[in-house]
Amino acid sequence: MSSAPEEPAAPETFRVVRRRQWGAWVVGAVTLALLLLLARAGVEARIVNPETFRHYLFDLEILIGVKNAFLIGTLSLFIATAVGIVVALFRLSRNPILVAVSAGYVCLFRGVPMLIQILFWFNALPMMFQTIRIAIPFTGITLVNALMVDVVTPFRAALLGISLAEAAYLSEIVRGAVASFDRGQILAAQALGMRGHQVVTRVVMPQVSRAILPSISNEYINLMKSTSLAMTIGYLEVLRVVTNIYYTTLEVVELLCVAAFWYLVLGAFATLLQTILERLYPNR
Amino acid sequence: MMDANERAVAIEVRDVRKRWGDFEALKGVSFKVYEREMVALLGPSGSGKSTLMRCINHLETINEGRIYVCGELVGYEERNGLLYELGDRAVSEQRTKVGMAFQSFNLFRHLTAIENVTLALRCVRGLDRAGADAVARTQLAWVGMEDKADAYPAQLSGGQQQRVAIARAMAMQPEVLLLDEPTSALDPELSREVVATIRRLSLEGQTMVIATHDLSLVRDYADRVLFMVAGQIVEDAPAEKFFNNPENERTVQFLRSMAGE
Ligand SMILES: Nc1ncnc2c1ncn2[C@@H]1O[C@H](COP(=O)(O)OP(=O)(O)OP(=O)(O)O)[C@@H](O)[C@H]1O
Ligand SMILES: [Mg+2]
Repeated sequence: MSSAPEEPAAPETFRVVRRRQWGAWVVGAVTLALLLLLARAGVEARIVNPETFRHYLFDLEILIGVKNAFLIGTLSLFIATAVGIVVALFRLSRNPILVAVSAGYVCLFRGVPMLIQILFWFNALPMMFQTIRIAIPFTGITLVNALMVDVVTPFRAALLGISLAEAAYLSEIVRGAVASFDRGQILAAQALGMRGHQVVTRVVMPQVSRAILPSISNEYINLMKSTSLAMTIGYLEVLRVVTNIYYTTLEVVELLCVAAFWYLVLGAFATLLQTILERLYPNR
Repeated sequence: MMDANERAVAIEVRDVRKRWGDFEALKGVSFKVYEREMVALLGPSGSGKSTLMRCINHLETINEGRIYVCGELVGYEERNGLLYELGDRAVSEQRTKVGMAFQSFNLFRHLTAIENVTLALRCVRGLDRAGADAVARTQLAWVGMEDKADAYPAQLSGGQQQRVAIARAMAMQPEVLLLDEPTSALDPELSREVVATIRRLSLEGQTMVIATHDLSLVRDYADRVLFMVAGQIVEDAPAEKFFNNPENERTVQFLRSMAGE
């Protein structure tokens, strides 16, 4: 018996039974029940008349509002990015004045509600400067000479207010990405004899812009929604338009749903753009 | 530039001091590297090897002393007995004489192997795309990386990345090449590839300074050894003498501790 060679034991196979997460199922069921209750309440009270909703969905005025929201949301992203990069570069410079200016900018424009900023520019600019005159020095050629009240349209004030506020957020995003950039690659580029601006444009910027792409998309969606704040100064974006309509027709909920729908579409567009860009420029 | 020994001097470092606040990383370092010479820089961790290498390229400012590469004062200009730091353009120009490869490779992550090599050829040397590609392919083939030309750094092993980094530096045809611990991030298998590259460089008579902890590399290829401790060079001797007949007590201890490992 003891001399017989031992049979190698057949490997035992196990069926793996995952632990059941009973708690999660209970919470899920309760959540679902509450959602159903909420939906039923809405349907029973007939808060949304589908006919009305459909009628306004492609209303021309509302579509113009959507276009305006898209316009401001997109333009302000570009302006805010440009300003944000400058503010971030100030912050990253070693000059105490530039650092202080940049820190002050971020503190102020990030700290004050965007709504106040929009109202401020719309009302304060015409008071601060009665007229605006832009001329080419020494030639006597005047490019612009106008009353400030005429220059500060709701569109321009909203664009300015939203862009400047957003620039504060973007500058922080850019600063964070640049500060965490691999210093070794900068040393390597310098060691090859690349000039400062070449290091920035050929090595740092391409990688930093890829790194901040998801955050920028996030901000883009936020900006599209922030355009609704411009309704307060009479800019005809979606929310202003639907409000104007429901003041007379009283179809408040349907029209709010129409507005919400279009903001969702704008947000979906931004997400799509992000997905495409991320495919186009994969992470390396 | 010739010195008293009638040999052409590639690098001359004279009484260089480097401070960060109260901490002095280089405490009066002086040495020369002659043309076609391979000099090994040895020393315990934190002794200032990397700092010294960065100073030679003016990637780091210095507080005192002078550094000359091919007879030219690096990073500064002397006026009225004072040293003024040079501007970006002049410093970049000087750096093209010195090639450098880093311990952590530092390849540009967003560029392929060949693009890593062509970037500076195009924007510093001003070659066109075709010309730069041709140089880069030759250089990559030289380090045995031609078949990985289109791979991104993340797709390469450490040894492959280091060889691309060396190709990138060599494509600029530097007068001197500085290698900062070229093999220390690599396992023995991978470091063999890099050592083979270093061997070819030394056979071609490339002037080189290599900071390393790899004594067999030093024993096999170095002409001279600089041994550094706490920001000072305590031994500057031909490799043969350094290993067999060192003068400084610290060198003896160091060699004994390395042998013990
Ligand atoms: N930017 C810096 N600021 C302050 N101290 C620094 C800085 N860089 C390096 N040091 C210090 O200078 C000393 C020398 O560093 P260095 O990197 O040159 O050492 P090393 O000889 O290359 O070491 P290792 O073999 O580990 O690479 C270390 O004590 C380090 O802490
Ligand atoms: Mg080091």
